[in-house]
Amino acid sequence: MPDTDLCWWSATELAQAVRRRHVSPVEVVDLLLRRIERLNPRLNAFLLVTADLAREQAREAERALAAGDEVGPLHGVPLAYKDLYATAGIRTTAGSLILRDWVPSEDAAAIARLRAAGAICLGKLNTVEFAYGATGANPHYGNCHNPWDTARMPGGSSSGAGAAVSTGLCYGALGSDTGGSIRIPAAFCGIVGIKPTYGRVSRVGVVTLAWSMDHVGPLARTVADAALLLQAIAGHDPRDPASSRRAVPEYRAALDQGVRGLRVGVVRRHFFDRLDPAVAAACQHALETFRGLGATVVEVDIPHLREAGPISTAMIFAEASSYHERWFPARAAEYSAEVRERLLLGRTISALDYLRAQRARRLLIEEFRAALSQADVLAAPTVAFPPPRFDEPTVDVGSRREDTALAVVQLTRPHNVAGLPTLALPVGFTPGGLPVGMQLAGRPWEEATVLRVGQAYEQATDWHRRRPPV
Amino acid sequence: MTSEDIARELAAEADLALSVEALARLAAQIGGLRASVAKLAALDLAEREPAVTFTALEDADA
Repeated sequence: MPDTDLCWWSATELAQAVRRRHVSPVEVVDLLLRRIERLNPRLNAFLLVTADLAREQAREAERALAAGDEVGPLHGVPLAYKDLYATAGIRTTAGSLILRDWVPSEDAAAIARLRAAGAICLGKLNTVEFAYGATGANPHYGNCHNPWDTARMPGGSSSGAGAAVSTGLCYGALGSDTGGSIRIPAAFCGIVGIKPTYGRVSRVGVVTLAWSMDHVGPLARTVADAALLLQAIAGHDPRDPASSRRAVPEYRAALDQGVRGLRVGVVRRHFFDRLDPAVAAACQHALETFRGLGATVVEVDIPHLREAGPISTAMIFAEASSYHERWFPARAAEYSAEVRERLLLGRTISALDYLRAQRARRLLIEEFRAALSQADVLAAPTVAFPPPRFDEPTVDVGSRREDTALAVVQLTRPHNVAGLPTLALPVGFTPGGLPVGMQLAGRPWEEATVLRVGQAYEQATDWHRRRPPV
Repeated sequence: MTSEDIARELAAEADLALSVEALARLAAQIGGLRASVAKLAALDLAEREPAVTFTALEDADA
């Protein structure tokens, strides 16, 4: 039997209970709306709650069940979406003033697929302005707060997704990840998130940060839920030029096959260079857990891993400044100082810089490919330190103080450069009660493998069952 | 051209009246960005064409 408190059920459990008519989607939506009303003032996870729409969709879901209609895998499951995703008839701000009055006429492709699968829309979630940052700060609509300690950052840019899923305000969410924006909030909020292979999920209707680095994917409380949500949104979309035609496998089929015989690769360089002691201890313990489950832990190397930082910087800065030419500099005053500064900086990247970064990117992709010929997944900490406070512009990374905004993306950017499927999941807590996350990267299109390895770990531990104190 | 010159030029081009502090910060960021991107110049990339990630991944898996 799942947790007695309905808001903590997994999406998988809820979908099953709704389908069997053990639970009413109308009652679930009412429960969550009350919970959002109570907790959102402290968290600022939701920028907009679509209460009427959610109730209407819940009633429709109930009617369909009563009529004996065939229903989708997420029938009656309330979700919420990063406000970077276009929602038909619903204001979509991208966390910006520039788009404060934008009401799209169509849903983003991923949202349309979730709706077709039966999901209910609870509302739009806080995001860093135009997804351009990873702390969770937003000067226009207010910072989103970490539910484990509201003085701390939830991580970003999918900040609201991390906070809302972690607090039981919804059963899953959509985020986006250009340099770690799904995985960082997953790590800081103690939940699961998956950045799929570049091209696996359509980006149509998601406001761009950097075309060649943007990935869209789900955040959830369990690995099985992440698989369930990914299954619903993955697949070819002819409107997205990067979208793959490859068939989408059944992600949950291999989920419970365990890790015996699999190789978990560890790249010490960069990923383990300088870590907070609690992060180092939790990750070491996770590797021992994999060994205990029958996996082999192997050391592998990616010689130019540290170059992922400059590659990512050149690509994102140049592409973002190009995308924003439609508004910047003409409407520069409507941007926050931080984003304005980054958009100016992007204009200094020369064509030579950009091409050099793209060529170096190929080198890094080749090295990742070689490492993944020696291992089935690559395990690394998601962030080198626990969530900092909002008033900490610098943070301790190992023995060095670093700029928080830069330090937070150090370990996540390589997987965007390489476009690899990467699952983030909780692997422990600091002595002060803050979550610690690990990321598992797999070969291109092998989401099923990273989910399987994550599931084996999750089944052997109970970090995902801890609830924030808020 | 120094980072300060570039910062002033960028601000003028964008018609932004930045404070002295904001200009200094922007100049420092430009310096940091140039140093970061310059690291890639040291790599031996002679035989490598620019990656188009999706194509590269498809090729890698083919």
